[in-house]
Amino acid sequence: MQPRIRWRSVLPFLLLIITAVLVYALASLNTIRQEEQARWEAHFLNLSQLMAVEAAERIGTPAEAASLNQIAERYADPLGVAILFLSPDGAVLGSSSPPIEDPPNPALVTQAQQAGRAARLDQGNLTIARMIMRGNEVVGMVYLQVPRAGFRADLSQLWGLGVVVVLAACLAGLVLSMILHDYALKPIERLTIAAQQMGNGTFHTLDFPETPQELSALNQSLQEMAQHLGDQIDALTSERAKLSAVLNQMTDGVLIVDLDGRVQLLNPAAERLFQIDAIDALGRSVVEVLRYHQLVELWRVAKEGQQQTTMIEIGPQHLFLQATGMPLKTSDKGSTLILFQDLTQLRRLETVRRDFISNVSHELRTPLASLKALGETLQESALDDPPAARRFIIRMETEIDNLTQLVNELLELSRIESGKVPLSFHRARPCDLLRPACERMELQVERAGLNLALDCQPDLPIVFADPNRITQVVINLIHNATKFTPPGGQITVSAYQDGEFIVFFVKDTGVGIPKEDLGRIFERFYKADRARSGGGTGLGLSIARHMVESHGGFIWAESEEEMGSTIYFSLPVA
Amino acid sequence: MPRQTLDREIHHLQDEVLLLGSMVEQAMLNAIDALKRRDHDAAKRVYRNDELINEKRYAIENRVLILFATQQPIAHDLRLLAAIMEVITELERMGDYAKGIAKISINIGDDDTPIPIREISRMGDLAVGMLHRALGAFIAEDVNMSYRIPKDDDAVDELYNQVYRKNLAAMIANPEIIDHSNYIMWVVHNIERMADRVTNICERTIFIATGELLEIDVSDDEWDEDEEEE
Repeated sequence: MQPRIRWRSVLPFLLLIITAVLVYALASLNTIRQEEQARWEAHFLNLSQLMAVEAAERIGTPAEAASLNQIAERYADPLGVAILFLSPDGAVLGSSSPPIEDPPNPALVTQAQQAGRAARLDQGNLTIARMIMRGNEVVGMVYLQVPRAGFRADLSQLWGLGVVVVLAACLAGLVLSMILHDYALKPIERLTIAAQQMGNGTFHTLDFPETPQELSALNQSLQEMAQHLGDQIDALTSERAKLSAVLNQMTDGVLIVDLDGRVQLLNPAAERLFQIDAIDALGRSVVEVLRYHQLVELWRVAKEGQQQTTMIEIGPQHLFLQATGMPLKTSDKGSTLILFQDLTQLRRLETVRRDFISNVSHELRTPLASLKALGETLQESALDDPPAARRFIIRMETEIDNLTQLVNELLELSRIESGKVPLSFHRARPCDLLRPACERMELQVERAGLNLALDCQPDLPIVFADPNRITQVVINLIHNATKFTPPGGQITVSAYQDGEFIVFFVKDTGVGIPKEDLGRIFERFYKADRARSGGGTGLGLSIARHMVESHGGFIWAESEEEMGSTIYFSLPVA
Repeated sequence: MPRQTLDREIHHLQDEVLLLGSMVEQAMLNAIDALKRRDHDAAKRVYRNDELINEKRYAIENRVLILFATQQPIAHDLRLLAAIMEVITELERMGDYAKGIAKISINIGDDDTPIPIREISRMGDLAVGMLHRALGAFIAEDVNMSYRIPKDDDAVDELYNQVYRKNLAAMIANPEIIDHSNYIMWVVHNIERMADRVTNICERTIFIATGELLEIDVSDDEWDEDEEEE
């Protein structure tokens, strides 16, 4: 591309130079030739005069012919001309040899007779006729024929010189113009490179050339443009980075769909919700990506220009989503934005809360209903029957105890949950935490027809714990085991070391816990088997969990239905 | 019609198949949910909405027939369209299973005999998950996935057997609940059949991709390859 620009500007100069030199050369050659020709003619005219003078003395003498021939020979040979001497009546008096074949030109002869001499240039030959005078009398005529060859040789030399000059001028012109153009074009080339780099996205590290005055305005504009563009692109890039960070980090799913229903954008949260890779999803149809007809319906409504929000539960994962579809007004026509909020967790918590309230109400209502019934019976009839009345009152007391326990445990739980229970930590042997619990539960376990075994190695490392609280946890676990183990069963209490933790466990041979319930038994009021939930508040394991966790430990359960359960909890080694 | 039109129509049909599948998945989940919550209104909705599933199936069938008539598709397109015909039939049948469960849910009424709802929910989730993935593989023509999905049927069968044993024990212990237990058997049977039919969809996917019509070998029994529920 660059040479072409150069040639385009050099070529006119060359042509101009060539033309000028040619015109000058032609003009001057013409002048030179004319002058040279005039001088040439004059020269031969003068020679003819000399011949005429010499011949005038010989004409009329006896040796006229021989002497005229001699004169002719003398002149003709060195000059390369042909000479003829004629008498006034036209007879040949003498001539150079070889003689002129053509007869003398009558028109020239006539002209010479009138003017004394005449010259004629015809087809390259100069012909001269001059009257030979003696005094005032015409005694003859000299007739000369000069070939043009000599004269032409002179001119061709000049022509050669002309060509050399033209070539030299062209070469010089070429070199000069190239140098000049390089000087003028270099800055443009560098500006071009700078512009190309701008096109490739470089704005701040551009190398702008020093330019001649004519280009400085362009240079200035380009520099300013680069600066502005660079700043704007930086601003946009940083804005874009912020937006994409937001989009990538936000927990809500975002989807943008174009007019044809192709997915244009999908953030990581949406990828997770719909279990699809953005790379796979982009450009696919919204149906293929979302896969749920309710959501596709939402998109259709949004495409028509209406914003809509729906709550739906989708798929076998039972995701509970709040989806909002809205038309994107600012961007391409027909594009829609769909937002997904995953409310699954929230709804689960909501369910837990609702269950909790309904459980509390239920747990409170049962003893209250009994109390009410007992009170009414007492009022109506049993007062008259003191033994019966006493029985009723004892039962009322039991119900009140149950209520009191429930309320106490609820209070306890809420205090533990809000971290208000002061724990007094001591260094304790694991066996010393287990033994008191076993001793206190021994009687109750025996009464249920079960066998309780404490298997504790005394050399286990010491733990850091609040002994009263942990003993309470163990009692609680043994109590549970007693409730869910049929008579004749076995309850084992033990502990072992596992790395940084001492793991305590209470193992029974009871009914076990269904697999699905294992994760939930530590929730408040959660009772795995409602049919058996006659006793207990459903808060025991929940309290145990909070207690263990506030010691920095963990609690978990293993179980096989009909084979028994084991509840483990761990405490960090001191 | 130029080639582009055929492609567009096929894409559109694939989307419609996915939507039909979504309706069936939702119907099944809703039916089980209605049974779980003893929500008769929800059950009736599932029962009624089956009509929508049937309508969509016929709409798709119609479009496929029009494409056959106007486009004379060959090779891959032909296999795809033929497979769509087959798949929508399967989907409609699965919709009928959901409808059947809804019907049973209404029949059970307020009888509060315990239902092994955990197993049923789990079976439903498994079967619907299989269908979801199978349709995804159908659209993507993912042969590997189509070979893998039918293996999940084992878990469904296992749950089916669990419910069967539990039910049998319960019936022996208490003959009064035979009616109820029978209903439950119907429910799990429907779900189990649905999972089996997912295998047929997987077979169609392999057919589109390879042109081979084969029976995917699942360890399951072939003897109940019947045509009940028509």
